[in-house]
Amino acid sequence: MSAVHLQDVRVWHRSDGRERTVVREAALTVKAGETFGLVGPSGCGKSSLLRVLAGLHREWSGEICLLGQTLLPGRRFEAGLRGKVQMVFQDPYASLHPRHRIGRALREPLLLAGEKRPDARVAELLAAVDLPAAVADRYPHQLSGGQRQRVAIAAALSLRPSLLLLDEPTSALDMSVQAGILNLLNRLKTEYDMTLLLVSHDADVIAHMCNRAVTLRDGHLEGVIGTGGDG
Amino acid sequence: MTDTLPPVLDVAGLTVSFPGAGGEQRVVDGISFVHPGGRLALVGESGSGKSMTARALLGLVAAPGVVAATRLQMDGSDLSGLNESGWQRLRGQRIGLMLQDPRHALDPVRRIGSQVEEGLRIHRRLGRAERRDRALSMLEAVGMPDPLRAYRAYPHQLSGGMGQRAMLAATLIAEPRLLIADEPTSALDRELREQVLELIGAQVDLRGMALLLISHDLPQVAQHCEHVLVMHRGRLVESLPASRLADADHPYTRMLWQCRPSAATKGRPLPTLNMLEAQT
Repeated sequence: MSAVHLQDVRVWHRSDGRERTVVREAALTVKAGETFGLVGPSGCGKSSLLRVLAGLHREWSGEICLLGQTLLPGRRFEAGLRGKVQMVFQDPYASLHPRHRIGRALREPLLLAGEKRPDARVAELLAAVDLPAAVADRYPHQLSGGQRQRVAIAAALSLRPSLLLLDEPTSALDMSVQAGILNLLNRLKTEYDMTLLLVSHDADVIAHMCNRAVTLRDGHLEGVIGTGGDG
Repeated sequence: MTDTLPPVLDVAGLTVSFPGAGGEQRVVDGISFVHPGGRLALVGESGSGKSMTARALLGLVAAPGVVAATRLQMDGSDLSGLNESGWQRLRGQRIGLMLQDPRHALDPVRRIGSQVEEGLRIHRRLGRAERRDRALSMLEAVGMPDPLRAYRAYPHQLSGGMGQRAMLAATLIAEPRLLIADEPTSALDRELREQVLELIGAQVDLRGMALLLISHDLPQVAQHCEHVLVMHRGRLVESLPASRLADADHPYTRMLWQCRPSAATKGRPLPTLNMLEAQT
């Protein structure tokens, strides 16, 4: 089973009553268990495509199949799929509520999902991303950028996703902090048995992480590149 | 003759400290270096003190921060005794500062032209027409495809790369002796980073200026500078020619040199600071 399958997908934004197409005729297949890269310059449409796959942007047409389920344009995800597809955003400064402690931020999706022992699970999640348990009592501004991105990854893991969508997860970080996050993602991919879809403008990050990748330019997908090694 | 000229910067025992809960916090802890001219890089991670070093050189460390140095000289003249108007004459005119993100460093409600001309308004006595001519030719020199359009534009109407070119133009216009570029490309895409660094290097050489390039990306700055200073936790841990970085001594420098991912590192964990600390 493929994790992601797209056929003839068009994505558009609406502004001032006009439609602006940002991705056209997109077709690709991501195999379960692989790390697949989507590379391209700013404004090429790669984040828009990722937001469609996360269920955050619903203005699209074509065929999309995620983890065996067919999506319908304009509609929300079915309940079963929501926890299975999770996203990590670029800016760790913007993706956490500034006035909620980390423990609360991590507990909320667990409670919604009916977790019986949320506190124990929060501790587990923090340990999984190599953060000390005391981080649960901190506010986001008391953490470094790299620690915050680890928290965002822990939040994405909390519902045990099968597909992790990563939108420039390290481009706001220092080179050496980036190295730690990339190592972490590779380890978690194996531990949680996930498929990773990684968006980046940095061809070196893609080359380090991905089995295969496509370039997105002006809304068009250009050829699949194998980056050596399968597995 | 050149041997007898004083270096662009001569810094000894520079310390920047802030009062903290557990006593004084030294964010720059007694660093010494000489900038002989040409292109010098200052490399380190967030929090290493590299930007605070730049601020100290510009007299921009705000209270309650305290700057102290046994020597702080530019072109042989002492900076440590400068009063505020002395610093103001220095800033822009003798040292130009280029910052990371044009969306934050440029004034969002003033046109680019007016911001590029500011250095001339403050430091030079010129008529309005001549200021405009110089600003337009500077916008052209930094590679603006349509200088007149850029001159009239507001910052939000420019892309990140163009905004960074505008900031470089504003920095170069008063012809400073030293350009300090603090992470000038970190907010840009990879492809643009190279272009902007090339441009900065070319302009610095063309105008005979000295460059202090501050960055966290060691392999990248190494391509654009002759000499590299590596900073970690407020101290200089290494000073060496860029050509010798591949065989640097200090483990921290080696980690910064090797932690960039690439096709060659696929399938292997990248070196990180934690690994380094686990070993020592």
